Amino acid sequence: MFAVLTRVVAALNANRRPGEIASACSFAVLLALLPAGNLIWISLFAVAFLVKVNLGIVLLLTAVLSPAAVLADPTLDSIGFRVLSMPAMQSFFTMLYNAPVAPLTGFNNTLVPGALIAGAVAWFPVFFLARALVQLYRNTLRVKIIRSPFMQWLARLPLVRRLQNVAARARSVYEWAG
Amino acid sequence: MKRTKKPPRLFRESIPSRRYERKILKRIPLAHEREYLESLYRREGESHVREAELPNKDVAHLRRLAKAVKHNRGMLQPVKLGLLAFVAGAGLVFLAFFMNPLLSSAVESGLESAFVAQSELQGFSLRLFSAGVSFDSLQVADRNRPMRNLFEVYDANVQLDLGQLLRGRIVIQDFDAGELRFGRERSVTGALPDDHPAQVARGDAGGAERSELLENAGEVVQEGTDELLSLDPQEILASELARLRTPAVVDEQIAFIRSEVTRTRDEIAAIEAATGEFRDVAESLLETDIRSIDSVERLVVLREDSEGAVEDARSLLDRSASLTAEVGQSRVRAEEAVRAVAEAVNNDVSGIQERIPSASDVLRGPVASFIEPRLMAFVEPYRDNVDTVLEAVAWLQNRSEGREATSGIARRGRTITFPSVGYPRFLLERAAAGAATPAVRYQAELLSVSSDPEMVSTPTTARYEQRHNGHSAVVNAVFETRRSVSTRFDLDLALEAQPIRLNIPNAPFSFTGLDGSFDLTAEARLVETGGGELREELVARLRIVPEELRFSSAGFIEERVESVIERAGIIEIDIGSPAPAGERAVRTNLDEPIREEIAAFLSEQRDIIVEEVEAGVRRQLDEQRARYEEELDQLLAVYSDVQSAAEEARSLADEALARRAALEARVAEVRGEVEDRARAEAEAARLEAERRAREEAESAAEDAEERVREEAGRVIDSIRSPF
Repeated sequence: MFAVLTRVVAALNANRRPGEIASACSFAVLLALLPAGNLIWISLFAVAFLVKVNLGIVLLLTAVLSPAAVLADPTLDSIGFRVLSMPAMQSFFTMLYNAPVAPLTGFNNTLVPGALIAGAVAWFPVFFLARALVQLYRNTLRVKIIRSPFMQWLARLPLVRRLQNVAARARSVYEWAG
Repeated sequence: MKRTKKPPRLFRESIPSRRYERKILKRIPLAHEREYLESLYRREGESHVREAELPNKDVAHLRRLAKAVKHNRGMLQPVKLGLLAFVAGAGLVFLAFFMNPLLSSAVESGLESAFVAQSELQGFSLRLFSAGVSFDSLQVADRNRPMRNLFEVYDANVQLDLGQLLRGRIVIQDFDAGELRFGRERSVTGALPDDHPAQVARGDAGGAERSELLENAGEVVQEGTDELLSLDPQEILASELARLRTPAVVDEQIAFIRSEVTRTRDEIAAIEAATGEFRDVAESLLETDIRSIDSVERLVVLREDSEGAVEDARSLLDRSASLTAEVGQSRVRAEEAVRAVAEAVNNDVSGIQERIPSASDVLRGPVASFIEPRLMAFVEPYRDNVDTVLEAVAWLQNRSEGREATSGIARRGRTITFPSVGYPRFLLERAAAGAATPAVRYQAELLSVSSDPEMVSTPTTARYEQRHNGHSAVVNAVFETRRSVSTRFDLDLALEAQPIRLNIPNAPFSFTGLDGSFDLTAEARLVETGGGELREELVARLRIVPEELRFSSAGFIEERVESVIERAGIIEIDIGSPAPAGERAVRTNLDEPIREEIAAFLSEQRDIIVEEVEAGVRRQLDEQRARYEEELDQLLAVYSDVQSAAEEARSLADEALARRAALEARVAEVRGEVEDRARAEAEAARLEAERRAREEAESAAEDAEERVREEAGRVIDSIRSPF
């Protein structure tokens, strides 16, 4: 958890594109909405792993948002059921249902298509919002926070310095790994 | 001199402005970092240039910036992609080198769990892209006969359904084997160790109950012809003598008689002693002639003396009567003892006939009774194989239960189903093996082995057909595992013109075997009767055409049996199991003729044996009876002595009492005489006394008168002269 937090803080302050963090937030929302354990969720996570998004934020936000996503289940179920019941899509879903791997995606569970649609719809708003927030932080808040007396005091603590060193080493490894 | 570091190549001294802005500046998101870079570079024409020499601090900063720029270039992460590619490559290498051994081991393990016996798979090869499997040989041991294989398959090619395989289902579309063998011997045992998981699971699960055909078979053989033919008169006699009850009864009664004799003799001695004593006591009474005694005094003395004898006589009479009564009771007991001995003798004699087997009783189906257990023992391994297959299919079902591939969604939601062709987790659609040569042609097929028989409409079916030099064998077997169907196993078997060479040790009538050919038609079923029990039904007809009969010895019976078989020409054996109550499952056309032929011979033999045994038993009983009667005679003699002693005592006592009565009479008589005499004397005395009294009274009256006159004179005188 500490490593993840470190990576999150490092990502916020690092010389990285705000889009990396913003897309991580979007991925996290999507992964949190989707029921875990099916092939779609695993594939999305693999994509998040392979593209340049902040994995720490993905993990942290997914863990935080997943319990809350249960509250959205009735809505997701309703959306998913409508999609799966669409007469025009029946032949497609039947073909998918009989395809070798498709049932492992759980697409015929109403939560999956509901979450996919909801996540896709929320993707860009979340992305832009997160990016704006990151830019706001970097341009305005970051300097204020760093220069605040509390942070100055905190930065002088030996333990915090040691943690900073550890975090720096972790960050260097993380940056080396891309 | 301190050496200055070189800045990264990205930040050369001169960079084209277009590249500087698009490839560098744009990829630095932090404003202060951009400002820093702008402070290092200045625009000169179409390029951005910096100072040639930079302090180490700036070089280090530029290096960090270069890293950031490099990172912010592109969307994908090449290192992770490389890592993924490496893992995928390693996986492929692993599969190439280790997949076949691993899968081979897994298949062996699965087969061992299903058949609960060793399995060996060799030359296994999986073709990933064509979803095919091939192997050189597969051997599965027979759990019931570990030194034999249940089946062997060679040069097999298996075609799987790739689509279903990706969905986690093993659907074998075609299983083509070059060679198929059953029941061949193994060089090493095929039994699994006791702690093998398959053994443990089998022990826990337990099989379905089934009726035992073999349980009741062979009873008739045990008490049948073999027994009758091997009867030994001496052995039977010894057995009969050992079971005689008479000697024990005789011993018991002899002990009783002896105790009675002893007790009665003591009684006799006692009463004789009492009689002697009485005789002494009553001697004076008995020896005195009472009529001759006239003296009352003597009679009274004698009577007083005989008072004790009278008491003794009465006592003696009572004792005599008591002894007589006891002897009567003893005689009753003795008579009961005689009856007990007689009854024991009768019992001992009467059971002999029943205990020696009768030819007419025993010789019901001598051939069938011998064949039945052997046929059932012959069928037993095949029944075990059916059980093995049924249990293997059940294992497959249990293992696949609840393991259907799912999406693994834990949260709630509705699962919508769409039309699809459903497959069980495991399905073998068809497996076949066959060969066709000029000499032999055979074809074996196995259809529809499924982990979910309810999903597959057809039951598991095995077919086998073989033709070889005019011989043929056709087998159709259905293994039904659907719960709605009660017939679990259904077999149709037809064998024609099959050669047979039977070697049968220990058969009756010295028969050792035959050579010939046979036809067999059989229908077998396992029907579930409820409660988990399987009832076996078997109907079969075996027709053996004997060409050569073999006997270990020659004799009357052997000749008759051979003659019967030769006359019959064909040995027909009908099997119908379960048999009706009291009947055998097996019938043959030889039983009745052989029974008739042999029954007469056996009956004669039996009569001789019975006669011999009965004579031996009677001899023994006669000895016992003689011993008993000797003792009984002694008792009867004692009874006679008792009668004499009692009679003597009684007569003596009676005589004494008679004498006593005579004495009483004599006393009375003498007393009468004395009384008469005394009365006469008393009368005379009274008369004399009266006379004397009168005389005295008269005298006294005269005296009184005189004294009165004198007195009167004195009074008159006094009156006249008072002074």
